[in-house]
Amino acid sequence: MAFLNSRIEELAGADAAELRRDPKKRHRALRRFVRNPYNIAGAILISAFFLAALLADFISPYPPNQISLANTFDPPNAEFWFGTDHLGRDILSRIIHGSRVACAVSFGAVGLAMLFGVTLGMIAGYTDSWIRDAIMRVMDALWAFPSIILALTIAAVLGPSLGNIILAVGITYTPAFARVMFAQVISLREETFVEAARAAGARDRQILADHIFPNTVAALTVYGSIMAAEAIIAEAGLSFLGAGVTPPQAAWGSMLRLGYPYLQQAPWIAIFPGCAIFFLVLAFNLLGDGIRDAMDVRLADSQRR
Amino acid sequence: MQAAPTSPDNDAYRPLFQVDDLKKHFAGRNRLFSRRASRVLAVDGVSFEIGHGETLGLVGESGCGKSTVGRAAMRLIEPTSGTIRLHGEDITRIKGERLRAIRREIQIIFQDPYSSLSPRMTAGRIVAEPMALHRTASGKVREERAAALFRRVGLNPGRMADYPHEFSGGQRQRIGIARALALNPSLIVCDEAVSALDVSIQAQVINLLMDLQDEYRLSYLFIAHDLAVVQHVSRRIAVMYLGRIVELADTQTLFAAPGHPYTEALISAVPVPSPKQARHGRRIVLTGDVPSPVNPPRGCHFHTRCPYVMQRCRTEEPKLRAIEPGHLAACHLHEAGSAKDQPRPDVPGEQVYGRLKVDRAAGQASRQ
Repeated sequence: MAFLNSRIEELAGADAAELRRDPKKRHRALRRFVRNPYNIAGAILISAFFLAALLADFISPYPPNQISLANTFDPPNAEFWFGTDHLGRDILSRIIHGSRVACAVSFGAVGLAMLFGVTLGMIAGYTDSWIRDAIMRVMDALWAFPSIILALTIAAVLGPSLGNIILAVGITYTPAFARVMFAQVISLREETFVEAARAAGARDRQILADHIFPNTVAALTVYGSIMAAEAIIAEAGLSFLGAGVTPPQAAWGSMLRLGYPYLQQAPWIAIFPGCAIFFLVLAFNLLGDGIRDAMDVRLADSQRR
Repeated sequence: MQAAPTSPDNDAYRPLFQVDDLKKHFAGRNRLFSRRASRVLAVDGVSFEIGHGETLGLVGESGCGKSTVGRAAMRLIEPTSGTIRLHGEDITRIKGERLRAIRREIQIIFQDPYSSLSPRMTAGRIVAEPMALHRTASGKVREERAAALFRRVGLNPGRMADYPHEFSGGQRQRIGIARALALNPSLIVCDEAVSALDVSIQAQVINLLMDLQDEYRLSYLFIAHDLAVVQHVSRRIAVMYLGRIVELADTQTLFAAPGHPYTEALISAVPVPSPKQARHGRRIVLTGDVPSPVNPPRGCHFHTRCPYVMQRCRTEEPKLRAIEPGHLAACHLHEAGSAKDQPRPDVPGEQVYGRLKVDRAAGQASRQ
């Protein structure tokens, strides 16, 4: 853009003050997002969990699967901050390693669901033929299942592995994105600016890519972060029910399941993984709300003054 | 139904754009227990032509189908039947890349300057987009040309990086005009292009459009409901009522000697700028609403509201025919009188008014 600006200045000969864009106008959505402390809290929490997942091997005090029979059922103390489980494994280390599964599933499954859902919803919303009905009725059928049962079924069929869990949760949430996208596309395609693009000679592909899709990004981002929270709960549910990652690998849901029989004697085994789930879900919800408010121009203007 | 050639300044007159018997029927929703599907006859046999550098005004009430004519004529919606010719070439059924090529020739300016610009594209990109789509210019050349277009329509090229919502309504409409000009079209459909603007801005935009017409020898199909605006910009005017053209004439003729009672009523409704300027005729106030195009009245579509209605109007559809060279009207009044299609001499206005008055008496007589 720099060459353009310099070029324009000489072309137009207009006064410089007019030409410089008000820097305050730039990144208006970002500035609105930053203004709300809840949004910051959400973003920091997610970043923290994400960093923990990336750096798990370096920051966890013990190897996650190191059994220490001398230290079984230790309550939280200076040595084991979050205590130990029935095999003497360090809960903190396992939570840190468990965040890998949580982050992988939340980003992976939502990414996958978005990819499938957005593609299907866009095709369905833009075509008028039987294809639309075929796609949307299949989505409705998928949506009719309680999500945990559908995910459980798919995970059970595919077998327990991280990739399969991502696939199972991703398929489960595909209809959600397909429906959001479908609704957006059918309303956007009637907009005058889409007609204008067609009048200018845009092909369908170009209309979808340049005129319709950019206007759905806000809704998709918001929905994506809310669905990420859902995906974490789904993964925890799968792990809790034993359809998650294979046992020695740490996952919050399976840790919760392990601690459940000892809830009276050693509550820390279940409480800390539960807190981890709670905070990551909360963080994604805060982020989703924040993005929604920041991207909604009308809402922002009314709040402004 | 052939429109008579009316553009005198070409020795061999060849119209740029011809529309012949254009029809657009929308399928109505089939109710659960209804036997037959209802059809909306939005456009029901419309013919006109536009010469090079000419403006044809298209006026009519809301819902009379004038926007549908504009959209169907430029193939934004599929016409049900009829033929559309550009430079003599039939473009009614062309598809794909050939249709895309035609898009360069016919552009459109929309009524609503708020919804017609993509909210997430910068103004510069909006104006440059048609050039990118047709690869008429690329890179630096395209940016320069977009900046030139900005200046031509009276916008500051320094604002090309701004988004549409940062512009005012009039400025947005100028962006729309710049976009329409980007491909050097020969015809621009102005679909109520100034209706959404303040009166002062309207005047500016109209003057811009007229300047551009002189500069690029553009032809306009100027669709509007404001007769005063249309009078100002058009060489000829077509008046539409309920999916049909009821009158088509030179602007001066149309205002001096309207050949159809509906036109007469429309003209009488145009506000007179000063109370000192006496209105020529009396004000004709039409009663009732426009009948539904799903179930249009038999015979002449206008007979339910016509002050001169005769028995014949209720059964027989009047054809659009020349009441004098270059002046078409669809009204039985012009056949009812004894003088059929005589070229009238000096004061045609008086004559038509006179004849309408005479026929009105006849109509009343026949009603009793």
